[in-house]
Amino acid sequence: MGTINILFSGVGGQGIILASKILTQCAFVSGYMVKESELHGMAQRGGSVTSHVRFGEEAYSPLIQKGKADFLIALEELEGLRYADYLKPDGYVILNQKRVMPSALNTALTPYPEDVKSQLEATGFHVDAVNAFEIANNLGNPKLDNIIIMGMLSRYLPFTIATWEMVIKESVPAKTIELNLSAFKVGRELIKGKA
Amino acid sequence: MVSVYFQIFLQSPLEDSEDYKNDHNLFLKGPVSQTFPSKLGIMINRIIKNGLKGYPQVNENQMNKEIILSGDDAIGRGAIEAGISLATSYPGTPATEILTYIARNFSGDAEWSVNEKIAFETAIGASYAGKRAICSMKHVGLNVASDPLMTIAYLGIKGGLVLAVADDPGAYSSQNEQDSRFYAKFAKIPCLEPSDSQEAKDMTIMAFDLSEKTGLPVMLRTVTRISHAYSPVEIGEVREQNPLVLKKDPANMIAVPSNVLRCHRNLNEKQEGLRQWGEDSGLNKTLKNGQKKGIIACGIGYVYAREYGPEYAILKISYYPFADKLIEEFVKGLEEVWVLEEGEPFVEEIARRYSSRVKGKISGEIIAIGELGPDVITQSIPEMGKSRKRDKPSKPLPPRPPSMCPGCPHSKLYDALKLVAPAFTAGDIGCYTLGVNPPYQIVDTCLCMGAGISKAAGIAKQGVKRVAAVIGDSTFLHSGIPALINAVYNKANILVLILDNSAIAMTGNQPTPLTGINAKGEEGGKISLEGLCKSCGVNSVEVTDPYDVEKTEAILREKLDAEGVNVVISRRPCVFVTRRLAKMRRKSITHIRPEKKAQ
Repeated sequence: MGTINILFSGVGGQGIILASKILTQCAFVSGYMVKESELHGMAQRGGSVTSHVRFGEEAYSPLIQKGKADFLIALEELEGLRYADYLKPDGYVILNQKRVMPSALNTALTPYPEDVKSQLEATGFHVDAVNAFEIANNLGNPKLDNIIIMGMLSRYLPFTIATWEMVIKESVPAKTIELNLSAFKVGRELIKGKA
Repeated sequence: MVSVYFQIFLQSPLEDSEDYKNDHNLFLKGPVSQTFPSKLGIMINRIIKNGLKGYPQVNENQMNKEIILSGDDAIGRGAIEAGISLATSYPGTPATEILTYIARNFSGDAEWSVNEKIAFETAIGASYAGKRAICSMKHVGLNVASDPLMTIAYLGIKGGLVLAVADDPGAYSSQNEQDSRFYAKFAKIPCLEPSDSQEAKDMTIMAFDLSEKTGLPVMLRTVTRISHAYSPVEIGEVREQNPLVLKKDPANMIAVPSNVLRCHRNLNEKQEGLRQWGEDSGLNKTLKNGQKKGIIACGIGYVYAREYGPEYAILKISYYPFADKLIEEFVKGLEEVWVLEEGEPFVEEIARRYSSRVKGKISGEIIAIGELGPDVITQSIPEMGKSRKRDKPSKPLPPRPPSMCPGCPHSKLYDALKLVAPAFTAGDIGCYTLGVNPPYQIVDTCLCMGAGISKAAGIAKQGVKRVAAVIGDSTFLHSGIPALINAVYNKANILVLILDNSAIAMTGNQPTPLTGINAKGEEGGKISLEGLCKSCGVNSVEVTDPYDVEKTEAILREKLDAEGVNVVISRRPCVFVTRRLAKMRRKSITHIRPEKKAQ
């Protein structure tokens, strides 16, 4: 197996760092070399946030090269489109169909993009689109959307469900473990039969 | 709505500093639920009462096993394993988490100092007591600490002293991209530069040994992608701390003219030994097997070289200073030599003396600004860029610049300040620097920590009226106080706005001396901002709640036109401070690896 490159993108506060840490720990306890890279500070205040995760038998660079990502996990539509050039030609996108309007949006000059899913598909990417926010809301907490997405991603990755569940349990506040585990299962069901 | 503690401050008489001190004590010592409007007081008391103990990231089960750590965590872990007795720092991205890690995982002293100079000097004190100490800071913090650095290199240290400096190539969260290796060269001290978390830990430990062997402080240089990149690190045993030995040694502890030249000679005489140590350590190594092309890879450049240039010979540089012959021998016979280094062409300059085929930032093949990453490398080096990046979607996308959080007290203050419209507003370093962006665009200049007040005074001295300076509470304590005194002494006419949000918010809501809680979550001394300003001799000190825009506007309007130096403290805690303080107590994810998968 070569190196798997997974890029997370979204807006500060969406749980990108937690999601990428869960993935990193899963890869780690499963025995792979893993590197994760993220930004803190000024770069993240309400701005666009990414986290790079690379794992495999070897992984040297903590950053993914453009055009080499196997997966793009977009927790927000605009941020999905913004980092689509990181994906390899036949890459996978898990797209959370959620829009967070930039604070100073100039709609005349640069309107919020329409049809993000079809734009990505037109480029040749495989897109799994989901309104995780709505599903999370129905589960009782809209903040679970990142874990639903991780459930979807889990279908494509070589880690056991036990590993995912162990890592999730230790990564989320104790009171929300059950909720997070059920969100993970719901996400996993969304991709059933596809992979 | 006007909060309870806001009322306390407005009703407090501003007469003498003792009064302010008493009032300020109310801030934390009274029944918290009454004097503090938010959950902040409850959280601070909970932390002080229960401490951070019980939430270590490393325990006995993890000994000799791997866990995932960031580069910053790994440096912190390395310092603990090396047997430090003290860690000091001032928060600054990307170095902040070194001290955060140590504070949570080390039973001894770890402190947020008021600025980097003080942090380094405090660490020197611990070294003088024979103990090992680490001082960490971001690259521009070293500008502040450069004064003690230049001379302690002359005098030499006692217990091991490591200076961990995190550079920010690409300036993701900084005012410049300066390369700290120049400081190591400038001060004539050794510098180690890791390429991942494991090396960060190992080199921290080596740096302490080297420090004690040579009697010099040793720099450990990282960059954002080391400090904030996570990879497996093997946890090792913790060395015993050095015994307390505080011996007077005037010849090597007193930097007066009669000692300087001898100390300078000592420092010069150590240089050959430093190069030799580097050679013996094997930190700089050549991986060459008949290749025609090569890469000189410094620090993180090494992982990029391994990733993108497997068919190139590699000279891995992790240690400075090195003897030139290392480079001379490597470049011999190579048709092409690339230099991958973050920051300035520090090594490239040396390499160019020994080969005309060196390619990098001086020769122009690699862009000389910004961060060196996979994309810069693969676009600069044709053979490494076999898979070109895909084109971006044709339509330009709306940008999403960082912005102030919803409910941010700074944004409310800026609403009021915009109404008052100063002729010029000199800003400073912190979340409130975001006031340069729309919709505020009220901050007209930003240079370095503490510069706002002095620049405002300089402008006002040219006859400009209605000049304001905006500075955060922690930045004010860091380096604003001398500027305030200077403005008073030299009779400037400026309005100084201190934005007191009870935290160092930008770097993750570290506590400040105003909140009365220290880096380890223990009760610390408390400083009264009002008393401090008043004792600097300013004309007036007013406190306002920025959420009360009308009242704030009235105060600003009055004080902007007033003569002399007038201070307005805009006080309301950061909306995230309670949550972030709660995080100090949160357990972190630390799985150990059962066993590495067969390769």
